[in-house]
Amino acid sequence: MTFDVVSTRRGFPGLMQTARGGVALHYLDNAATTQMVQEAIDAYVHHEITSRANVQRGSHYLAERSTEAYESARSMVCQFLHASSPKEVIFTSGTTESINLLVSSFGSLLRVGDEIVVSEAEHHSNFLPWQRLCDATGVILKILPVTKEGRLDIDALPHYVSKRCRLIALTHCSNVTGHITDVLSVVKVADSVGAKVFLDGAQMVQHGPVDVQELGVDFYAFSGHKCFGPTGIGVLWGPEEQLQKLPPFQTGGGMVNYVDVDSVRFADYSRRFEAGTPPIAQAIALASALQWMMTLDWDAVLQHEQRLFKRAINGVNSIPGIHLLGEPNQEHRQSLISFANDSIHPHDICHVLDESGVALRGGHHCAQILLRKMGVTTSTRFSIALYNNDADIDALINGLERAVEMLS
Amino acid sequence: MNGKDSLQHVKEIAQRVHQPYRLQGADAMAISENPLCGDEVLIELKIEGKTITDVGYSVNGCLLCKAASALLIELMKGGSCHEVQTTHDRLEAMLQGRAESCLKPFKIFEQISNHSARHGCVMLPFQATLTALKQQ
Repeated sequence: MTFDVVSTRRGFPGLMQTARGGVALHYLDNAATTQMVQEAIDAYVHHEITSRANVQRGSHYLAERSTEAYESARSMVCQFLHASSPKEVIFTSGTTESINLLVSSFGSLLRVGDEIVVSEAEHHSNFLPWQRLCDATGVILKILPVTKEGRLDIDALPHYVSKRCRLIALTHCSNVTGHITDVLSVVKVADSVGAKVFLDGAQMVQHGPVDVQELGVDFYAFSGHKCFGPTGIGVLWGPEEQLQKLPPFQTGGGMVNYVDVDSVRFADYSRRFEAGTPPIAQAIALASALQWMMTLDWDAVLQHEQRLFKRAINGVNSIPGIHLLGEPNQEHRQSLISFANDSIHPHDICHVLDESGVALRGGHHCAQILLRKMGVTTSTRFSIALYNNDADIDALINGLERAVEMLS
Repeated sequence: MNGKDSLQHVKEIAQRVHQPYRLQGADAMAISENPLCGDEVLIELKIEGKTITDVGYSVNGCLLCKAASALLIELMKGGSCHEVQTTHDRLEAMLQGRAESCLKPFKIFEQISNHSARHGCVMLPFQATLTALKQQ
């Protein structure tokens, strides 16, 4: 089975428009947000028209339809992650909230002197909440370094994990270099001391379904807007027995079984963590995006992405003055990478490429620790999704050559 | 930055703050950072009465940020504190399409008024300066 990028692109109305000045749009900022697939857009609109009502509260027709659709969405996420039960799927507003939920809830069980391990490669979302927790509680934050190529130094991990380690919280895929974490090795080290493992899957999910059981991790988070779904929806996954041990994150309606003036019994499993009205239509649209993803031949998709990535890496790497962050090979990495030029600011590069319709990301990518470790404060990033094509890569390389010539 | 001539002009202006210039014994100082990219503008002021007599600076930023910094610094030397606020307001209004023009040297930024993401690059040195002036 081969991957048909032409027909795939037709399923993304966001790609059918032109960019500023009427030039063709070449969207290469997929690590920030992917475009939304038509199936997800349709599901969102359909739900809001036909089934708009609050969930898990009313007993009328629309309330039942809404609740059924919402819980079906949970089941779809369960399938996508190859989890054991929909009860293990918590809907959040996004990866950031998922991590803050975990930090607040799991963190409340920790004691002074317990240890959390993160890495220098983390997005601020998987660094700042842990740093704040440790500052406030006396829990010790240990930071796994990266190699000079920007990969997690997994060989050094055992030196950072003691018997007081309670959790190792790492990115599944770097949002700066695209490097994929060697999860099996991480889990092995964690198991040796009985620590839990959390993975930030924000950059991983747009490249295919994930198998949390095969990975052997304890918690996993991702965002809908990075896998062809809407913004405002994300997931935290954890096994039933883990979730049942954790206290709630926020409190409010929908997450309790019984309340009195002097007592409360919280709901079980994922419902305990969903206080207030959840992002219902967003969850349903996310489920449609994931369902669409699960119809694809991912070997063929990844082959397509990696072919374009190779072209892009070779092209960008051949432009004088540009240096890639991380080594230019494609081993164990997704199709995104950042690059820098000693004398040209990424915002200026992005500005010039934007005039050619090429959408890139310039800045620190919410990963200032990693960038500084790699000797820069800012960089430019391109990130390739399944709907990108050769014209996008041509526009990237030609635009970048022009930008360097103009700005040098 | 539409067109090579315009870009060249911005580059030439930006070049003027390539090297930092620091003051001893400044009366006011502030640093502003752009949260998008971590760019940083440091402004130091010497003030006599209501007149800015000297300006120290260190600009770590893109071309637009550097060019705006250079123009603002030149405007401030010998100018009044009030003038900074007035120029800020007129420039912001021009970028946001609420006014047609602003002080002449800053007209070069009109070309990026439709690039809202870059307004912050131009306004960063103003932020630092206005923060410093509030210390007075």
